[in-house]
Amino acid sequence: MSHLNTLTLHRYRYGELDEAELATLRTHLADCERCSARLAAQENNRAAFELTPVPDFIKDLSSRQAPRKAAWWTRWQVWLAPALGLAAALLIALPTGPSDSLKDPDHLPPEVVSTKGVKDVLEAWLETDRGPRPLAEGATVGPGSRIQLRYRKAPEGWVTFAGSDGSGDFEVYGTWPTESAEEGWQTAPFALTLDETPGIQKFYAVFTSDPPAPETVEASLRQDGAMHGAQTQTISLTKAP
Amino acid sequence: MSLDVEQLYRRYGDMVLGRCRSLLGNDAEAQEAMQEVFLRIHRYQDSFRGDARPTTYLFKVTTTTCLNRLRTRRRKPEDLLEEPPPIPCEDMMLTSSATRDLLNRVLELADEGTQQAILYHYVDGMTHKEVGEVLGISAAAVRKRISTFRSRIKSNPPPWLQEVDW
Repeated sequence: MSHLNTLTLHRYRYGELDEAELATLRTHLADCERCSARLAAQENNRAAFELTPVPDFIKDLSSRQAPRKAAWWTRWQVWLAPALGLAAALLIALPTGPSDSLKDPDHLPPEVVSTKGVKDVLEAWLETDRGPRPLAEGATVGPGSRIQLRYRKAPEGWVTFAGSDGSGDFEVYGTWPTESAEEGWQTAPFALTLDETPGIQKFYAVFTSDPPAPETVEASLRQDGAMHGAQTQTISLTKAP
Repeated sequence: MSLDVEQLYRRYGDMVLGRCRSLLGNDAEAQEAMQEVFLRIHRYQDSFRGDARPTTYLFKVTTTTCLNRLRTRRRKPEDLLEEPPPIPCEDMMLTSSATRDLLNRVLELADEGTQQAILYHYVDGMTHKEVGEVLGISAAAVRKRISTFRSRIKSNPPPWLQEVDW
């Protein structure tokens, strides 16, 4: 294989490569001193850059702008708290079923699209100083790590994100419309900061055609690790003490 | 809705400044070029938002800005009388001032579109297909630009190029 080009190395550092590109790049870097050195040079440049203050002209440009919500390329930086606020607002505005809806035929969870055999639909990315990096299944993370979830191949409808930690606690983070019309990976509109509970940290993405009640999602995940009739995708990380 | 330039700078500023330093070889001019890049992005932010790959878009705008500066520099040769001190450069292809000088001389013989193709292909190591993706043209068009340039230069090479194997 020829050497990695300059732009590919930058795109790697900024977390823009897809799985296939990442695999190719990592294989090449393992055996190529020249490309490893070029990547190290870029990373050294980044480290030096972070030590310098933001120039006045950049601040001047920014100060001309009216306050606004985060742009699309900074969505990963949104904190969980505002996301939960949005989720709460959504859930208040939308009809929700009773907590025992799984047992009541009149309140079955919404019929959903089920996609069997689809792999790599949910990913967890670790936020680092050099941009987000994808985490492999079972990767070790620590307290304070900021995690971003990404999904793809979503059916049209809604996606509910949830998680469980090493103590067995479940939390439903919220439900949002899927962005299935767009190709490639979509980013969850929040990032999570992990607490100090050690053990397996598992994330879920449940895809439904209608917004489900959070109690329904939580009950299903607790009982079965998936939601009946829905497409449920998971990724697990190992949280070190 | 306007663009958050400071967020953009914090995330991608290292790539923009590093690219400017690599191509211009002069820290003061690289700082000016970086400023110009972000001003351009601010001015044409609608086209920036429409691009699916911000890194590619910024890389292209930065390259174009630096090539414009190199062309302007050639029109004002008095500016070159004082050789700037060497600066740290993240791109090993351009660490030698002789290499950078050679590149500048080659670029001087090409039109703007071909200059970019040559730079991306020979210096950055992109394939014709990858160059085409950045420039928004086909791989065949890239191949043709480079091939035409090479044929033209080989048929009538300038004296300084006759000893160069490229």
